[in-house]
Amino acid sequence: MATTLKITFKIKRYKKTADEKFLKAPYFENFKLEVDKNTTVLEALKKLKALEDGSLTFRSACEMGMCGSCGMIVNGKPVLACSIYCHDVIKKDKTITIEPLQNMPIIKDLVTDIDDPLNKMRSVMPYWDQKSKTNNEPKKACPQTPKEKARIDEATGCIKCMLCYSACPVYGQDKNFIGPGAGTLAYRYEADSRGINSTEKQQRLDKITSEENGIWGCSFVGDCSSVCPKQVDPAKALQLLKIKGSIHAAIKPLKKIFTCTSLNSSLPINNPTASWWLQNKTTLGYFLRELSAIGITLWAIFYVLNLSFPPLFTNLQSLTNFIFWFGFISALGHSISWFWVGLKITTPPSPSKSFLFLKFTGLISGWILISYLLISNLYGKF
Amino acid sequence: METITQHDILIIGGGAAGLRAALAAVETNPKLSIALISKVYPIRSHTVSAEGGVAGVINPEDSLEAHAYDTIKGSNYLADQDAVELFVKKAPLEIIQIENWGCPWSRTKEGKIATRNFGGMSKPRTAYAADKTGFYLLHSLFERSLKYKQITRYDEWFVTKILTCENQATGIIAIQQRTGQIFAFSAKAIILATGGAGYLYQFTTNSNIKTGDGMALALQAGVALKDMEFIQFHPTGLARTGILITEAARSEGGYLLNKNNDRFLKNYAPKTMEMSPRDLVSQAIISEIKAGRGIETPYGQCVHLDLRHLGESLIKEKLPLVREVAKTYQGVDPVYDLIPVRPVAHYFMGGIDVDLKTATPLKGLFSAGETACLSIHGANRLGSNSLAECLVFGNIAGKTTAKFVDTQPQNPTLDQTQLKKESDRLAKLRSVSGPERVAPLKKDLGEMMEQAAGLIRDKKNLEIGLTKLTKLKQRYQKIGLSDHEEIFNTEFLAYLELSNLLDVAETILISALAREESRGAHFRTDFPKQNNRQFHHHHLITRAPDGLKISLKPVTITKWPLP
Ligand SMILES: Cc1cc2nc3c(=O)[nH]c(=O)nc-3n(C[C@H](O)[C@H](O)[C@H](O)COP(=O)(O)OP(=O)(O)OC[C@H]3O[C@@H](n4cnc5c(N)ncnc54)[C@H](O)[C@@H]3O)c2cc1C
Ligand code: SF4
Ligand code: FES
Repeated sequence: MATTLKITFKIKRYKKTADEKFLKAPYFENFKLEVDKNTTVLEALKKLKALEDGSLTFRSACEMGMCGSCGMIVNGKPVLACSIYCHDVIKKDKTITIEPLQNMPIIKDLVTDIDDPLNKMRSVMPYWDQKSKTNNEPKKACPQTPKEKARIDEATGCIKCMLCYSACPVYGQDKNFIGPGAGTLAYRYEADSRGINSTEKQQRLDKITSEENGIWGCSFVGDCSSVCPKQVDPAKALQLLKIKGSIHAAIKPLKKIFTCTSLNSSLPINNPTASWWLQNKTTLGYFLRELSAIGITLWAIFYVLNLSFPPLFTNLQSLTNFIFWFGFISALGHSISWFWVGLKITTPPSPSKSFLFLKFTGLISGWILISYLLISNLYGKF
Repeated sequence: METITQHDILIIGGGAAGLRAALAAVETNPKLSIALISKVYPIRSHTVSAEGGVAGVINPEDSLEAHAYDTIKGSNYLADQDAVELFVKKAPLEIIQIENWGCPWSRTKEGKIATRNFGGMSKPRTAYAADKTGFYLLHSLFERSLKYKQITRYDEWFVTKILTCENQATGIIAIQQRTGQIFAFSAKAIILATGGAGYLYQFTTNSNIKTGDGMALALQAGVALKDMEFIQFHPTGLARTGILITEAARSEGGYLLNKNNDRFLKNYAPKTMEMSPRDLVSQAIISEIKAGRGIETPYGQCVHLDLRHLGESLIKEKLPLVREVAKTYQGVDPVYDLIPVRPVAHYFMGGIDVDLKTATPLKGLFSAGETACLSIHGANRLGSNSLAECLVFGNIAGKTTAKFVDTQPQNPTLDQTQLKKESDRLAKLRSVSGPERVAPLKKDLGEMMEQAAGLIRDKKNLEIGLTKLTKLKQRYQKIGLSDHEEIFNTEFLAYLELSNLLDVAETILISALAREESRGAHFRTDFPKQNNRQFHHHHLITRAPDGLKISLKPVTITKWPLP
């Protein structure tokens, strides 16, 4: 016969009336219940509801740790109540404390409002449409080897229980942070070997690399991974996503230079005209930006050549001077047009002004530093 | 309830069937406004617990004919063969469609969708995603549905009534759990995809949300329920909790052993052994237990499922969830230990009577998924046919309704007296007081159903069951609630669900009593033989003023005559 224990359950209660006025601040209520070693916390709650207080409110469904309904905080740790046993978590004084998940509004007792995390998951566009050449092509399964699939095995295991949102200190501070669950979901669709050519892929990366609502808030505390009941490792997914995001952010401008067709979404993609840059102020901005980039390139080549021994053009003082100023002005122009174009972009995601300004000042200081180093190299310190 | 929310299509249920219907409707006509109403967040629907896989002919060495024949044979020739033919034709397309949407199917080395054997299937044709197929499927569908702004989700809304007017379904009444407010919806078409009613039984693989709401709603709206006596008992539920150990455990090579460590199925089905259809395996287990060859456990007599010879790596790769739940919920590790299992209530073959286009006789009302009955499962469902059914007929329901609403110029007007009556009824029920409580009554109902309409039935027990049911219904009237809040009142919902369960229970008992033969999942000790001459037909149950009425419907035969 299984041994039983009499346990005191300290359960956080919270109720509000329909007109949204609080009856009381959340408070703790104690219940006593005899439980055997096969009783999960959820079963204990169900018994309490049946025997003690029918108004005790919590969510549950599958009772096998798959549906993600029963997330709550037991003895300070976010868990699935159906997957842990009372005897395993009991404290020395024979009590178990049960609270609702943190970082989200309470609806009643242990039931919380998970709509914000769920909307964050929606915002990363967890879907794709493969571009197919013709519409009436019969549908085929996209091949994927077990090795390719293994890359997403962890991330696809997420049951959207939102325990990680409850554990995440960053999300607790800043509700703009996309959060571990949504990050994992974004990573799952990014890392999948299928869906490579989907339009959503670019938008998703743009979205998560933009400063607001993006992934950069994650400070790698790792609490999300330690509470995840499905070993999804959202912290790892977020770091991998950061790498993907950085590469994306770095490659994007390069792509723009090489494929002038994608310079501006308002451009007719298949029909770029010679005077596309006169279409509007933004296209002009792009034009100036790319033009100044050519100036910088020339400048850089000139200096690199001049670094060789003996320097190529030492006797052409005036030419060197000219090229230096030409390059420096190009660099300035490039930075300014960069900043200016950034402000003009209205298609999502529009990076925030402070972010752009930071980039701008960074760039300018970078240019000045490089120029100083090169000049001092050529002419000696001044 | 002054405002009435209007949509073109209302889909009730966010499981595999409901989500698939929503996606089909929006992709058929992106201009439609679609409501997806579910009493839990769609990702919490019980589809999430499905483990084994989805059947469909995707291997070149397999054939549609073979799938159809296996299904019909498995159904004990009670399936409608035109429905089965349509089903097997569409199932492979669905598997590929879901793949295209991102479902992480398990793969062969070459990168093709892998398939496994399943009970009653003559070829490996069950596509799977480890042993969490339902979970991956449901989340893939849900994530896909996030793409469409046209689909408005009403998460945690509980539907209490289908409104009708002149033989047409016009709308519904639903409670928003978060506020407790009651709302009316009107629509040109309604799809019921509310899943089964397995929670009716005490020992079940189904969760507390599977309360047969859709079946009860349809019955009240005057629509017939079909073949309600056929309830599948899965052979391998974990002895203590009833959590499912998927059939995949046997298809990957697991053995069933009795007390003497004998693979006892050799005495019942020497050819197919552990891979026989579920009705047969479950009944074999019960016979073993009756013959004294069961294993005594604190939870009753069991048999053992042996996976030890499969090895850790196979179990890890193909049956991770089996290992996880066996460890967590039974304290045994299948790599080293035997798993105690016993038959457990699992699946409703019967349900709302619909045609090949998923339409009910009530204009504007459609149904798909476990709650509907076409029938493709007849007297016994083959494992992995039901998720495929949810996809195939969910899709058909979505397409059919999308076309149907085109023929309807505007939303029907709701009958105000019906509205008033329902909101008054709910208001009254919310504040009932009395000596009885919801939970103990549900427990008694579950025990009654196990005894009267369990795996083994006879006239006497069924009749006792009916008498007990009348008593339970009387007790229901005396229930008092201790939670009178409006916001998120789960006790009140359980109270409403219990009423639905009582309604469904009655249809089961009456149909089971009327079928004086044994066929598939319906096993009567007083009529142990299949009787094709008298009982090769479906049972339809409808509500009449003086109680439930039973009528007969012929089985459609196309290519496969009775043997
Ligand atoms: C443990 C287990 C394992 C299984 N394994 C397999 C398998 O391997 N292969 C296979 O093919 N099949 C399997 N099945 C069967 C299969 O999972 C089900 O038949 C299928 O999931 C049913 O899907 P559904 O969409 O019809 O209903 P469900 O997934 O049950 O969804 C019902 C939906 O209706 C909603 N709802 C219900 N009532 C109301 C109401 N009153 N108001 C508002 N919303 C409501 C619910 O919220 C829910 O969203 C398994 C079943 C179980 C229980
Ligand atoms: S990542 Fe883990 S903790 Fe977070 S929602 Fe998914 S399963 Fe839950
Ligand atoms: S009840 Fe489904 S995860 Fe706990």
